[in-house]
Amino acid sequence: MFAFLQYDFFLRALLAGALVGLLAANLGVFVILRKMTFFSEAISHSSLTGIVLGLLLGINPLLGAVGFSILIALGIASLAKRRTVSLDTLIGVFFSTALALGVILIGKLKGYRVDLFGYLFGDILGVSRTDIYLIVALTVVTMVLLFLFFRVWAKIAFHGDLAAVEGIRVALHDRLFLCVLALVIALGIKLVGAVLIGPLVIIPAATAKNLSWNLRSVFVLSSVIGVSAALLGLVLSFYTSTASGPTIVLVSAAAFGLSFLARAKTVRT
Amino acid sequence: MAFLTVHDISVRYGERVILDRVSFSVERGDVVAIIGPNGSGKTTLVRAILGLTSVAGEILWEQKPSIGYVPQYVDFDRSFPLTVEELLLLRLPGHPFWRHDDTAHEAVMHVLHDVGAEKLIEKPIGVLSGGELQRVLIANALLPNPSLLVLDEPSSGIDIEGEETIYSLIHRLAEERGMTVLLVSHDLDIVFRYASKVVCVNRKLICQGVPSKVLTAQMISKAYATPARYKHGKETAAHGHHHS
Repeated sequence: MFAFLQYDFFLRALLAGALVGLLAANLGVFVILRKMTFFSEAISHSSLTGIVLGLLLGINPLLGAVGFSILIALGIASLAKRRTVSLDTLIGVFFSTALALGVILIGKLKGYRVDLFGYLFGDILGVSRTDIYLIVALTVVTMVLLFLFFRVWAKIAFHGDLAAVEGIRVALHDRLFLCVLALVIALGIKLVGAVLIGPLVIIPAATAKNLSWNLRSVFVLSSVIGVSAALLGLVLSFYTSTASGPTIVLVSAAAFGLSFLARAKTVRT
Repeated sequence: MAFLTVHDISVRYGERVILDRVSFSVERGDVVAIIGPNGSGKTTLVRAILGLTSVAGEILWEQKPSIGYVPQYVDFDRSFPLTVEELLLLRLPGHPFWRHDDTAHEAVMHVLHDVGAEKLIEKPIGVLSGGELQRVLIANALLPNPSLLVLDEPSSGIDIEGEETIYSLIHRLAEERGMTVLLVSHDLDIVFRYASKVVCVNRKLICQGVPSKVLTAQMISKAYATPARYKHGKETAAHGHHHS
């Protein structure tokens, strides 16, 4: 029944899924509360261009994704500060430009790149031992940052000006948060692919927000949903021979659908 | 030296002048009301004093104050999943957030008691009425034991409720805690009753001083003259004769 447990590659994928699901779900709460959904989508789509750049330059594609996503995120953040163009317009322009550049660069890659599909939609076979070390190390770093700055980021999400009056350096923390988000998005690429990592960040948190009115339970629920959806999605994809990324996203979307119905019911009663 | 000296400050957004060379001072223990019509730069003035907006000119403090700030309650996202207790716990860094702690609970209850809102401790902020949210936000501002309390339009859109209105609450807290208070208001009745000093702005400083002395009928009509850039509809009809 648990045939998948005998494969090393699948155990690695489950471990990667649980860790990335946990990180994405926690950062996702801040993304949802700050209404940065479109922003995180933009970062994830830009990471594709980073991957192609990595392949072209002969460096680790995930490092390319991290570097390029951080560049795009910080670029949008610093232009948004000038307030001459609205944020959603800026994001729209940046992310379509990055994506267009990525598609053009794909054309420059020599030969048939079978691994490219994996980077787009996730490839559990592709989670190597090195990837696992990278994911574990970055999970530890991200969880430490979350632990250190949880209150600060929550206060900024609630009301930026109130946080600033308290002496919190809001612009600096915004940039730090964007870098961590770009990092987690890049980590998720192996698992669900650049196209679908955005939903992995957003859906568990949005589901948790539907189900709860207090911050503590939103974080706990989001983590549980994020990890379970990743694990369940991986197992389902094993048995149905579907791509791991879309399967995980469909599982979380189903959870969101149910939570939405539950919320509609509580609002009515 | 005064508790706060605002010296010759100006704020521009591009070509638009929001505040033009405004100067005034605040003494320790003052309850200062900043008044003026909509769009006169009141909120910008407060934001400048809080350090949230860059300004030309000087803002000088006798000594660096600890500030409690109560923004306009309409700025809040009511779907934000946060209980009153959680909001206040976020401001108590020495106490645990994720598990129950008796001393933290007591500290939260204590400050809620001060604003007459103990009953609200378990409630999500999303279900609070305007007046309740305002009390909770005042409690939030009181937690760091501020020497200066700044409130932006504390009564806007709030039904008067209970025995103690928001203004008498602010007045009582200021006396009990020896705080200096800076509040933006457009309710002149409130200004006469509670403020020890009034600052009228309409892009420029129009007047400052003790309300009963400076708020003459002539000064009020000058302060509330509609700036030329807001020449439209209702305001033009109401204040048409003040246009220059």
